[in-house]
Amino acid sequence: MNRLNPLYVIALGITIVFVSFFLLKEEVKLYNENNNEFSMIQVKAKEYKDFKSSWNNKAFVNKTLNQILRSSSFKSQKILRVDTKNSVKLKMISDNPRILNSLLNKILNKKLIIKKLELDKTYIDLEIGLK
Amino acid sequence: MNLVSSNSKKVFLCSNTKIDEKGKVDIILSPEFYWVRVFDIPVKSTTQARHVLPTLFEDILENVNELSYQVIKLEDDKYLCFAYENKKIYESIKKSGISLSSINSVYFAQNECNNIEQFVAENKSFLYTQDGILVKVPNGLLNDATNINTILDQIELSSNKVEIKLYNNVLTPKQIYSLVAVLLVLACVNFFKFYDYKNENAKLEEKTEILKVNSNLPSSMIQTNSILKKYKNIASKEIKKREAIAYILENKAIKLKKLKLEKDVLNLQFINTDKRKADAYISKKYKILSSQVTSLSLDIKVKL
Repeated sequence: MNRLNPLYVIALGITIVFVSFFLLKEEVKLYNENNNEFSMIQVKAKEYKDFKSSWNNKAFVNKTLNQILRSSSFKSQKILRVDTKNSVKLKMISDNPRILNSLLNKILNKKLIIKKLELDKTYIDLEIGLK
Repeated sequence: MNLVSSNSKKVFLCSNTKIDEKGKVDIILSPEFYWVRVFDIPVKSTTQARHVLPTLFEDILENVNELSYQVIKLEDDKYLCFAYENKKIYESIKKSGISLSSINSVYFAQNECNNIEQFVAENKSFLYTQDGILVKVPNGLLNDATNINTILDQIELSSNKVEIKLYNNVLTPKQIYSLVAVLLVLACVNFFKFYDYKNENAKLEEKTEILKVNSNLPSSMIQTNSILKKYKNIASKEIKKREAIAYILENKAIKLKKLKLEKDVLNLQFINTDKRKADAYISKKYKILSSQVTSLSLDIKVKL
């Protein structure tokens, strides 16, 4: 040890400190990247879940339509409903424009894919997509 | 016998020694470089004895705190004590022409020249006193003295090496230790934080994987992005359709008779409506594909 110049020891110490700072910096950088990625995936996962459980989700479409059609204002109306593989066809015939307007509003306010829509004074003809 | 030094050349170093030696050397320091005394110290170990040496040398030397010390135990409570100035020896070695890297070990002549009663080296005379202490004496005092350089090879070196620092002391040992300690603490803190972040990274990666699995996300982000893009397109188109219907229905000045939406084309049928007014209103926001008047009805096709 007596032959070892302390400056070398100090230089070694400084090198170790530099290496430690470098490693720490890299790890902090990786941490920030991972953190950002996690936040981004959190947002995407929520969006993915929301989209998956609406729009073309068959169960959601059926549930939503059933809820709307079960409404007391439509009970006495003439409603035709045909479920196909890729869509649900719905036709309501009514002389009351308010009822037709109410159905249109309710349908358009839900996350449903409107493939076709025909609106007349006496009926609404709808095709809601499942794909 | 010192096996390590057996291949090294021995050099008797005086303050005026000059040498041109490239190989390994063992240096024997002449009494010019150190002070030696036998002290009766009532302690058991050389380490304990060494602690009291500055006080004992205080009577004969100044600046005792700047000196280095070495102790050899002779018998119980009796120690052969050396005091030397590290810097002075270091400078003399450098001045002599010996490369610092070629130095094997450094010895005190006191311990190595026991078999030679009196000798000369570099025109300086040395002899062992009755007390067994090697001292420098005036030239001419010795009549039949041997030149030490002629018998250096016959000297068998002892194990009592001088603990000498072969570098220039810019910093005091205390400063060096403090600096090294600070650097080590800094490095330790950094490494601790490094492992902390490493653990956090591992946890984050695990959390990300769990989130992906729980949300039923596809394995790759490319797939996820592609699916999300598809859904966003659907949502955007559907919102556009709703906005267009709302836009048409909110204007009470134009009387809508029939509305038909197919894909992204809106077929509108109006009655008793001014064509120009209807066209102007719709074309503010949408592209009109066709606009025709048939008897009382106005048919407009709009691209969404």
